[in-house]
Amino acid sequence: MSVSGITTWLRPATLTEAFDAVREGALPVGGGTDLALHAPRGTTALVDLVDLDLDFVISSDDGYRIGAMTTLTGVMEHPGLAAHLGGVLPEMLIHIGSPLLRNAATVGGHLARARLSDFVPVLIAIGAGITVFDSRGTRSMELETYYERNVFETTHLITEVSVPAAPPRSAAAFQRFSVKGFDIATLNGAITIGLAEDGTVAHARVVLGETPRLGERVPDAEQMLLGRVLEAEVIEETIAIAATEPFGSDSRASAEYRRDLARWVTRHCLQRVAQRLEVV
Amino acid sequence: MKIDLTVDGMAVTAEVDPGETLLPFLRRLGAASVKNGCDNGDCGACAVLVDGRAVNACLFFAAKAAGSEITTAEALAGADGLHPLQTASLDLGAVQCGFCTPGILMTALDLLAYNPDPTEEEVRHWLAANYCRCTGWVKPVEAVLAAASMLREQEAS
Ligand SMILES: Cc1cc2nc3c(=O)[nH]c(=O)nc-3n(C[C@H](O)[C@H](O)[C@H](O)COP(=O)(O)OP(=O)(O)OC[C@H]3O[C@@H](n4cnc5c(N)ncnc54)[C@H](O)[C@@H]3O)c2cc1C
Ligand code: FES
Ligand code: FES
Repeated sequence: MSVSGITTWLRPATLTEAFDAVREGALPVGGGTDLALHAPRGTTALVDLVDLDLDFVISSDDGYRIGAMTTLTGVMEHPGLAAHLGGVLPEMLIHIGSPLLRNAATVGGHLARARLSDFVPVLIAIGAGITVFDSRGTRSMELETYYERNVFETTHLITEVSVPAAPPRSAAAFQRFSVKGFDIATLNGAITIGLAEDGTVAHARVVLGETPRLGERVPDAEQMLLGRVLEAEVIEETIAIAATEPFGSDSRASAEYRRDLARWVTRHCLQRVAQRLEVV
Repeated sequence: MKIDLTVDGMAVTAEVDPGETLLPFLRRLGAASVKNGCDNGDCGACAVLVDGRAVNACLFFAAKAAGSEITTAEALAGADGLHPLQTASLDLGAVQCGFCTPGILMTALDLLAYNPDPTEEEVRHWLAANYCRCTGWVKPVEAVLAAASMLREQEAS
């Protein structure tokens, strides 16, 4: 949808120039798919980040660096990222809109929205970090910190996202529930498990999203899992803990309904992780 | 503001509003195949290729396309006739009212460029966000699969 009232379109060649424009009130454009629909009223200037060389995926022994201007399709089509932790990224991305949307929407634009996201729970579950540029220069933090400390509300540019290398013997899975396939999720979740030599859980991240808050970890479930073997009883205990999270009601679902969905989402994630780890 | 870009192989210099999307811009240039079904990113009727990838023209700022190559369904038929996606759509009855057809063709073009031998399930997934209110999708899916095999044969010969 065209946005009325925009008088200026900037296309700077450096991050500093782009940031200066943002400081003066221009809104950064990634794919522009969200801005085209939801640009705040009164927006007059847009700054396209396309010339800042932020469309890249770099892999190393430490994991992956994903530039903020990489499209969601770019993540899905990167062989290493697509296979990471058993394929959790494409398993989730395929639910975001359509191929048409994913060809335009960028990682930075998606994360800066800080609302309604299937991507955020997965990135938190796989331990992602984020790098931002602001008046203090460039700094990196856990993606959780970006949301918990409301960094997303400050004047900044996202430059990249980092995905750490997979822990030994690890896998992740994503599950969401939506009324119809194309609808935004009513609840979603993502779980990563890493096993020790003896087959007990050495690394666990359990994340629920659209609770209706943005994806957040369930620390009690993670603590309980450590040192245990991923068998039926442990899966039931994890589900019971996930269901004790504070859920909220909104137009999509009541808190009670979300509590039931959290049980279902957690079960599906854990069962799929267990299959990927070949422990069941 | 003025932008330079290529539309269906032709170099174009045009005046655009900085908040305007490709949908009204391309229609103003005369590309009537770019349909406005929802202006909301939901229906896929506006699909065009930007540098080879299919996007929703209604969610893509025209200013963002400066320097890019845009392809609409208008450019599908060449000197040697219809594109296999068009031939298969006509032959297999995939076109009824035709409103969704250009969008489906452009989405399918992107799919087949990256995946020349898709499964029926993959085609169904790709066309899920190209709403068709006439055919129930069965025939468009068959047409894309038939076009894929025609294109593979062309490639092989
Ligand atoms: C039809 C439709 C269906 C959808 N379905 C889903 C779904 O099922 N699940 C889901 O999770 N999401 C869904 N979405 C949301 C979608 O993922 C977002 O629209 C998209 O990711 C936004 O990316 P973008 O690059 O186009 O953002 P933009 O529109 O470019 O930007 C979004 C916001 O981020 C800011 N911004 C952009 N880049 C940066 C940067 N580098 N640094 C700082 N700020 C920046 C912009 O100023 C703006 O405020 C859907 C959207 C649509 C239109
Ligand atoms: S008009 Fe663009 S998706 Fe419907
Ligand atoms: S043929 Fe009429 S909408 Fe598809």
